[in-house]
Amino acid sequence: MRDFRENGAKADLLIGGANRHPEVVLLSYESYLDLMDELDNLSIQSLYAERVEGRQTLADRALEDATSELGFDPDELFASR
Amino acid sequence: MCRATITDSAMSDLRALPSQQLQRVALQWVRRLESTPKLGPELVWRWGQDLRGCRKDYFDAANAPLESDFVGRRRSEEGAGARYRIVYRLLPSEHEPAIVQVFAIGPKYSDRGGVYATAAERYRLLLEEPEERERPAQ
Repeated sequence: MRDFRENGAKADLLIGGANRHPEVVLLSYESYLDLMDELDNLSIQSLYAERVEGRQTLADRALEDATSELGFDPDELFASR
Repeated sequence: MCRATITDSAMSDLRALPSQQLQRVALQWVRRLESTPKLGPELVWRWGQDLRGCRKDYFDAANAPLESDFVGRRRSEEGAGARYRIVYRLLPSEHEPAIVQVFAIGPKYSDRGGVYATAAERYRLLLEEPEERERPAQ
């Protein structure tokens, strides 16, 4: 506790447990707040990237352009039967 | 007469179709929708997939959609019915459509949930930014 009180976010975290098996992690309250902020930022960045990607994949093009892009001749493909 | 546009996502769907014949038929169906935009039945909310405001069209490799007397049939109505769907909406409105916007194309059933699951997710994104989405393609 002394290390946490004196060093705050700079204090080393503690990992505790029994039989060489980690069961608990202790970190300063300041470190906890920093960690939560970081998680929030990552979550926002991920959401933003998803939205940007969504916008890019929803761009429209004309039917004739799409037809040509796929290697077809629009005049031949859309000729009335 | 409406004008059809295809989203980039739907273009990826077209490329992913298993044959060129299916690509040809899908494009021809979209062409036909330009003259008969309400040909496809309206979609509804189903199993958590909200596609109200959209329509679907059926297609398969043997179709000839530009033949004037051809009508797509559901599998339930005809044993060898169409396996694939085109999902689209009419812009700016159902009442006065000017654009047929195709935003999902693919098999009704697939390992990844089928075309309707994909369409519902894309439609949600479309509705989030209606102004940008409804701008006609150049």
